[in-house]
Amino acid sequence: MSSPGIETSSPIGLLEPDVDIDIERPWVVIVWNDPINLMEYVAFVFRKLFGFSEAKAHELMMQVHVNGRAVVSSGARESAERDVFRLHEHGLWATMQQDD
Amino acid sequence: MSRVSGGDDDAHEGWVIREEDFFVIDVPPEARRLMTNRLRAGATPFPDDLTISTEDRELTRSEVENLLNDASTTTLRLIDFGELGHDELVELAQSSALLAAIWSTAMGASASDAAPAAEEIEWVATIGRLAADCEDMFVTRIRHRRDGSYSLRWSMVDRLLVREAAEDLRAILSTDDPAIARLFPSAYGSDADRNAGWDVLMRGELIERRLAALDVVDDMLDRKSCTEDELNAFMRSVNDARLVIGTRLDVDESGFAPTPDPSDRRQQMAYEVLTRLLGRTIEALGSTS
Repeated sequence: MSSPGIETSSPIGLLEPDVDIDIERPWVVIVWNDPINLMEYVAFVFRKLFGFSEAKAHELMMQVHVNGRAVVSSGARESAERDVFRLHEHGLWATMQQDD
Repeated sequence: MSRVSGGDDDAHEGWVIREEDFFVIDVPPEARRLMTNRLRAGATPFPDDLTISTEDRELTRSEVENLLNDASTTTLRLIDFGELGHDELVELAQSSALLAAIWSTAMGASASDAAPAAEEIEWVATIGRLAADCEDMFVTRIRHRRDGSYSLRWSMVDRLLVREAAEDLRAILSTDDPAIARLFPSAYGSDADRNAGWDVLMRGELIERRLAALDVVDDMLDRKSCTEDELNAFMRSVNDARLVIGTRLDVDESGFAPTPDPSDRRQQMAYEVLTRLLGRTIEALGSTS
């Protein structure tokens, strides 16, 4: 995925911070398209977890559906991990990476 | 014995009563007399220009009359039965819905000349009510209440299939069954080291939360109301179960391929029921915001 600078073998951020990552660059949370999840479910989860308006949630859901992926949040590593966890808890295919 | 109401919350009692493993049709005498008289009379003349269409074509007049006669005979026979099995109730739901649809279309078509007679309106409302009450046995209703809670009325089929799917999910959550792959995605894309770290930290917590949600589901299936948090847990569990079954059925963007394998057909039915139920749950939860 990202640049060689973030390669690390240490555990993820909740245990201890990676020492060799660029702390300046924010992390982005990406939701990927999946043929099983219902479109209205994905939009509903976006509204529920991130407090998006109905229109914004629909727009992001359509991005996932049409483009295969959409960035749903960005910020510090800990908040990205929390978002990914909650998305996984809701059965959505979410990943996080440092913004390019 | 449980009595299932046919309208909002417990406002009135339905015409279909569910016993342990059969159904009783409990139509009030006046409505029964009205239906019996109309159904025995058979097809009444329609306006000449009335057309009835199926999804793909317009029916001929004789086809409509045949449909009406068959549906009338079936409905008459079944409302007089003391007890109906599941398949018979499906048959009654279909025949009465067909009668209601055709008669209300006929009434609408003749309304241009003169207002329909009170007797016509009563007949269409009566057969429509029977159809709706039969259908209620197959449809779960989830409604938001003013106090913030939700009223629940489970259909027998939904309750059975959700219970089965929940038991299945509970049994495989902590295993390496490939069907649960979608419940535990990798968090760091192709970064194997970070993904392994994530799995060590998060998988156990995700399993615990899913088991807790399944406990809520088990409890809710025996209740008539729930809180918003409980309905959210229910939604996540139903979605999890859909992901598992969809993975087994190899669902892609175009759905699943028809299969002659009987065990797959059962899974397909469960998938469709869970899809419908998830839609209703989202609708109910969304109606508050």
